[in-house]
Amino acid sequence: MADTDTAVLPGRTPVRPGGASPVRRRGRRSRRLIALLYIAPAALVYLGFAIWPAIHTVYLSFLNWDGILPATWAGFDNYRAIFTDSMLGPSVWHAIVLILFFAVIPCALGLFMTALLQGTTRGMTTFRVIFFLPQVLPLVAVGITWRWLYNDEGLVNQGLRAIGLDGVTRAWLGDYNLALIALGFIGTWAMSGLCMVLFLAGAQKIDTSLYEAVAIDGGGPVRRFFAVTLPALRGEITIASVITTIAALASFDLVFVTTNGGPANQTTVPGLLVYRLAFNESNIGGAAALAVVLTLVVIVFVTAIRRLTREKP
Amino acid sequence: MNTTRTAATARYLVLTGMAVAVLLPFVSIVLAALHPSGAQISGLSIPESWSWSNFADAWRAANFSNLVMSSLIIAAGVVPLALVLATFAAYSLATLNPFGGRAISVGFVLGLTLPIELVVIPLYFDLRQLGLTNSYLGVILAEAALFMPFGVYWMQTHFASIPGELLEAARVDGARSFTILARVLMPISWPAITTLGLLYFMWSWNQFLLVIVLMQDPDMRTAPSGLGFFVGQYSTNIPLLSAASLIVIGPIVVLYLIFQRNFVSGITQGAIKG
Amino acid sequence: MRTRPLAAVLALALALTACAESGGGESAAPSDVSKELTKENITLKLAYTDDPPSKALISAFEAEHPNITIDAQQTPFSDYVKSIKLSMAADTPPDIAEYNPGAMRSLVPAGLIYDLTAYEKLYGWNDGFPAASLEVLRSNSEAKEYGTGGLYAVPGALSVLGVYYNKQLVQAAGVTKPPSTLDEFKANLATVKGKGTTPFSLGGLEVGGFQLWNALTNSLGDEKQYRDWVYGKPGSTIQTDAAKQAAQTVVDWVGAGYIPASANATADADAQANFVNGKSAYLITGNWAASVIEEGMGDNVGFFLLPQATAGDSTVASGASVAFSISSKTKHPNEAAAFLDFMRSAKAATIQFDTGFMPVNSEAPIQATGLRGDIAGEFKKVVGDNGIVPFPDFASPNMIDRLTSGVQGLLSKQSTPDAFLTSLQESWTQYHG
Repeated sequence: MADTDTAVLPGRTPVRPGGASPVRRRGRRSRRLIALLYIAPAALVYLGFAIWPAIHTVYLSFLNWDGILPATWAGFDNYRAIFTDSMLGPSVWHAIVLILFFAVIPCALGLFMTALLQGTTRGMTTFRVIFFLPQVLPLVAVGITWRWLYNDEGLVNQGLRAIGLDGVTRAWLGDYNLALIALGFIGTWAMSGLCMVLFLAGAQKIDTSLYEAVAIDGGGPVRRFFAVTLPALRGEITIASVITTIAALASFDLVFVTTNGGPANQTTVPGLLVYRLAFNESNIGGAAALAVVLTLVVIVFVTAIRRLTREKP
Repeated sequence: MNTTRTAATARYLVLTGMAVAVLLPFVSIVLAALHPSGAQISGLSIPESWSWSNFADAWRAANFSNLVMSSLIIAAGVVPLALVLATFAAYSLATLNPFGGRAISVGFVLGLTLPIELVVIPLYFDLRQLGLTNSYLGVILAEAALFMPFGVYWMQTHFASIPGELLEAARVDGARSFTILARVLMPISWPAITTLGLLYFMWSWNQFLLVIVLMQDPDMRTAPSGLGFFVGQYSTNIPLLSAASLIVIGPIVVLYLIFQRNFVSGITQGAIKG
Repeated sequence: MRTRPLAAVLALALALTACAESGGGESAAPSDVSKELTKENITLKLAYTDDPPSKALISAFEAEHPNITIDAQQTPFSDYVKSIKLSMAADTPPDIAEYNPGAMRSLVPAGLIYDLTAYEKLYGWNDGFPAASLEVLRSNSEAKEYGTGGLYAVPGALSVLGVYYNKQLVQAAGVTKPPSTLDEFKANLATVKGKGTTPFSLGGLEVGGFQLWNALTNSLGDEKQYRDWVYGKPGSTIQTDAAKQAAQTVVDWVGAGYIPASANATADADAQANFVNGKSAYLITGNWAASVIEEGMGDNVGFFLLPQATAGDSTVASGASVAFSISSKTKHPNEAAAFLDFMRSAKAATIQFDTGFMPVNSEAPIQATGLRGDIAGEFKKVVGDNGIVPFPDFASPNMIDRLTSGVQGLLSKQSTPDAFLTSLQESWTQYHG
């Protein structure tokens, strides 16, 4: 699905025909009905192929069903399993850990760089093109590339050997303790540029007189950052954190081609297990319940981010 | 003055350093792809002889003729369909004040956060009953539906930003709602539509989970999903695998370089405006 | 009032989904079984994933029955196990489908594939098909317990798990003959390691890891106990001393440096390529890899079954088959059964062997030298001992994931043999308990 934001509704400018004679009112009524016809095709496709399946998933999550035999009612068993099963619960936790690498670190890095680099730089377009590149690539190709970089003979180990750190070289994606971090770092690589470009562009719009005001009050660069830059970037921070958080939580493609959840389930994520349970293990109910939980986690995080970054009235 | 120049240089150095970090993985696979097929290679190494044949070999081995064709068929269905439907719906929601318009807008916006995992299981079983698995139409309709929230949201934001007087004037002239859309709004909406179309193409091209679930015939899968299974068969042949990856990312990179402004604004502004 | 639309949607959901989640019935048996085949021109649809040997077997069958055409469709394994159940449940399923006991068990209680017992009696299949190879294809009508009840498929080619070795590397280390006991093998590994050669290549990312554990379990343990467990016999357990010892051996071998540290990031194909390229002395995998390995190594490679703990004990090894089953919706059950019967013929045996598998009919004469000769000799021995046991991933639907991730835990020394076996047993109990 689109990596994007639950935004507030776009502002509307409904056209108000002047006057309200009975004739006009009837005309307006029929116009408002015709208006629905414009929406109908989009709404039908959306209801039939997105909303309906979503509701159906909720229904399936209460069943024991293998995809073939008659289903039986499971109540909340499938949900209970997410908290008790040795595979399912950790996968949700892994996705949350990935948020640190996909969202928190890139945003923090972006803000730090912005504080450091504030001011206009020539050639920003070129940098922007480069930094945004990971955003448009299929994650499958990104995963295959990093699988090779993390290989015994790959770039990462080659770099470590070059600086004399032969001792720490390893097959990173196969390391029990480090595989999830290695996977997360791919997200850091992909998302940092996005955050930085957004924040730098936002910072350029800040009125310089605000900085001067802080300087007159005797504030240093740190105060300048917290008093002016950070509040001014509120909008950009919201966008960056929502995009990156959703990317972290719904990271199926990347995990599927790099570790497939291994080693020893250290990198399982909900998306991977939804696919595995539903299509390899014929546990449709369990897969559906996990999908519902994943969706709730996404909604909780996105709502939390919006709350935290909302401007105080 | 001197300090500003030092600052500018520092800025430039840091940005360059980060740009190198972003590009290095690509350099690594481009170099790998130019090694002889099956060669044992490490990180960054310049091949002794440049072998371009990997691209042809990978094209053949992964059956990219079929995969790329499927990708294009699906994109050619999804992009126009989703664009037209989203434009109509957004036009109505933004300017025609339909019954229940506000609720409908909320309904579309809710779809923005739904992960694909939530819909993929019933899509598989329901579409199978309709005979729409293993079919381009099934994937096209599913993708169009999943991309609909963003499209409606994006176009609605765009139409809402158009001054009301423009529509009012046309309406006073007695123009019908469709004429207003076609004659008044469309001519000034191409930038927004182009951006949306490019994003749709990108999402359609990159879509993985939906395609591997809905398409059982390996020949009807898209290029990235074919690549996802290619890696299992040829994981040892790094040059071949790198070439295959480059084939899959090639088209989207070319489009991105041509239309970078649209891509960047689509990914970022859509949300900013909200 | 406000809740009404929601209630309506839910009611609609229940009504519409009812058709998707219902259906099924009892296990199905064919009527009018006969060896008499139609003289008319007919076409049978066949779905399969393994080739070789399927294509060659199909052509040979068609050559013997000119009026029968087989329309075969191949699907890669991971897609096949996902989609075959659904295509068998469709209105016009394939007449014949390659059968995987792990992935396709639910077809049995759904009554979507035939119980072939009637054909077994008609053709006398107990002659020509090794008993152990049919056993794993039998199950009760709930498909919870194997090795008993109806027959749901017959094998079209056999495979066995064993040890490949690089002759140059082991001879350079002074190992001159295949080991006859497990301890001897361990001593060989130490010798090879002492010469600076890594003993094993191992694909821990995929199935290679648990196949090592599986081979060790077979070598150390009681074969009947293990078989009962895979077959789902009530009260069985994998928490045995042998299985635990096997898991501990895997851990020990990692500690001793016999297994590369990067095993968990290594795919099966990578491990195989490393072995072929001389990066390790040994590789544990099945004979399905024989043709590729032989192509890469010529006569520098040999094969033996992992030896038993005590010399002279009867041999045991995991094996599986490329098996075929018949849809209960087919219009031509007798012709489909004739295709199954063809698998034990001498003609089929030649094809099975030439394509790298073991022939179903172990009596069929075959000429083999080199690697194929080693495999054929070892295979004959284990079939003679009735020592072919099923792979452990057949035990329950998600056992393969438990096995893969569990052995990854052992390889990274992060989980104990006890924890590993507990997790396997948990999955077993969930399904059979």
